[in-house]
Amino acid sequence: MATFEVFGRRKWDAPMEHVGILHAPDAEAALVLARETHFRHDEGVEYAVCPSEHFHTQDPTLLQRQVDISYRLQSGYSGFRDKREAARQAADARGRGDLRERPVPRRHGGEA
Amino acid sequence: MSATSTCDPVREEEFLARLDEGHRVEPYEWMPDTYRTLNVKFIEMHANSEIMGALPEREWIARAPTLKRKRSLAAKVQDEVGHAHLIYRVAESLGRPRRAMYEDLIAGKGRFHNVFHYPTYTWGDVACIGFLVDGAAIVTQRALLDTSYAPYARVMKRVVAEESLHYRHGEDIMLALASGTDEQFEMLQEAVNRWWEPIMHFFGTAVPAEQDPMIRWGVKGRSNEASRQEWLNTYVPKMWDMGIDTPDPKLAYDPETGWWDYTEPDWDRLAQIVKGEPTEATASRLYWRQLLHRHHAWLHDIILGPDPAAAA
Amino acid sequence: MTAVDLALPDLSTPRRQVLLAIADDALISGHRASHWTGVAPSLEEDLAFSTIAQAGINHADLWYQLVLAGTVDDVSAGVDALGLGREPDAYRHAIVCERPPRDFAYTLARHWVLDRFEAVRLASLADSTDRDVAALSVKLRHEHRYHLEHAQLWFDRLVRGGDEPAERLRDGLAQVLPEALGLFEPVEAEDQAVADGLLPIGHTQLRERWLESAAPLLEQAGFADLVPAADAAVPDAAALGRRGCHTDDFVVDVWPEMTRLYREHPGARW
Repeated sequence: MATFEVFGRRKWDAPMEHVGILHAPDAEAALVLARETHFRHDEGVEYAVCPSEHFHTQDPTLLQRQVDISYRLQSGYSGFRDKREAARQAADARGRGDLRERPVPRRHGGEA
Repeated sequence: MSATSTCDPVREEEFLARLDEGHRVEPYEWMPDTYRTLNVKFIEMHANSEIMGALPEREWIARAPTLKRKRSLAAKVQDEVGHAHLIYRVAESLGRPRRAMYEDLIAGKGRFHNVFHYPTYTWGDVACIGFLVDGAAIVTQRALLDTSYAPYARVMKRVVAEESLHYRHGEDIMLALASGTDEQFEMLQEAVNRWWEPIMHFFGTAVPAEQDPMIRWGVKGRSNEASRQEWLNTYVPKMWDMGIDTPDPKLAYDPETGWWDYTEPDWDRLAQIVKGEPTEATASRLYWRQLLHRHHAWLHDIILGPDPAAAA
Repeated sequence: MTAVDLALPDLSTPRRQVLLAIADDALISGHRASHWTGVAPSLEEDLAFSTIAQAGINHADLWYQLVLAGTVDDVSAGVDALGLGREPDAYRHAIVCERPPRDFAYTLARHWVLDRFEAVRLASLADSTDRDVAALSVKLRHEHRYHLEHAQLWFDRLVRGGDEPAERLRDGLAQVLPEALGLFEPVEAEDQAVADGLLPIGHTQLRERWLESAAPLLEQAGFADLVPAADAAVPDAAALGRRGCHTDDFVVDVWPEMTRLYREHPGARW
């Protein structure tokens, strides 16, 4: 009897996530059994199994970062209100302030 | 893939009807040939563009003016390569091996977006690529969150999230130049002048949505013109606020229609850029990649595992 | 040619010479590693190598901050003045760090050698009497585990990968290992830094520890003949980097490109 890792997708646009393991003699059986071991309450739209022996894990401390990597994250960029204002003032100082007609700003997903 | 024919007009009609109802297609489902082909073409071009987009910016990691910019540019280019990595996988799920796509790309046979055929001259180009070109990509990529091929839509969720970081990265560089010395400001203005037409080209001709096969087949959800207008809406005011001039004298926002008027870009020039002889910048970037690829032939099986095609 | 209002501290003190050597090694090897971004032999490896490049730049920044240690108001500007504003002969990295990436086998060989060096250097610095130095070394040691794993991964695979990959790795190591001895040349006033406890061990001992860590792995891989002798001299071509003598690979290739934009706009904000 081998164990199988079970993965499921809750919604069509969600990632496959690990939901548990089950015992089964082979992959074919694991696929049949997983439906009721892990998805009997309508937990997902798609699932998969993988023999536990093919499921490799890494020492999780390798993911714990000790050094600041905020330059890779949105949080690494801030103060946009002030920076935009500084640029506007610099434009005015250069005599390049611009008052042309423009749309009312909408909130943009990436905007600070 | 099932043994059923992929050319079945009745099933095809049913398939299209399901797409119209918002159905998302999974790789293991039956799909018409046209759907598969259009998706592969589009997704492969997207992935190629992420790689070719990394190269012009990459040239500036070595030259970045501060250590902060050096590492954040390196991280940003890394994300572009990361996007290529995710997106090639989507095309692979439709049956096109990554190695084949990669080899076609470096052999000059792969298509990619026009904006990545141009050379870079100054740090102002880094600002324009990071904010305006990336901004154009964000606008079109956000529209892909609704694409009908489920693995593509899932990957786009992550890509779009990372692009929000790139948006800030780009705006930050742009604002620093705009509020900097006169030389820095000029550097930025000149780069904007260079990038204006390529960006207008980027969205494509104003082909009506109902005539666009990519829309008909649920690859894209929005017309070229709608995307171009959204970009103008977001980015033109930002440039004006910084005192940066947009080089099209006809460009104006009409509050009545909510639409921007602009000078029609030269579409023949776009065709020349993407379909004609490669630009000097593209030729040298590809030549160099070919050289590296050939030189490292001994390494490929080690680094990627044996080629399944060769093993079979 | 730094910003007019920015006065860097005196860099000739033993502490600053020691820290500059560490920081410059990180910056220049990181700069060279960034070469592979967008052109590495696989997309996965591209992502891995970019992180290695970023870590070099990032770690250099952290060490430069210790060089400055409260002497300037604007730390970012001070870091850039150190990283990008010095003349070539003020850089203290070992010459092996400035060599071009050549091909991927050379690059991997160099990273393997540098990473084993960095591991013993950081381990020793964790015992520094300078608390800031010790604390940063502990942090970076953790970070550095990934570099070691990554380097060992490809080292092993090239060794097992058949004649050509093993031969190419051998060629790379044969170029890197003699030049790597330049990593262990003493900085100016090293004796003072050792006496102060800033450096828990001097370069001779550091070199011994590095050899103890690298030699068994080289021998197992069939590269016993490449293990540098305990008393081997640094080849002339790779000597005196720690005293600011650099080759054209730095003076003509890296330095002008890396620093030009910074130098052309004194005092500018980016």
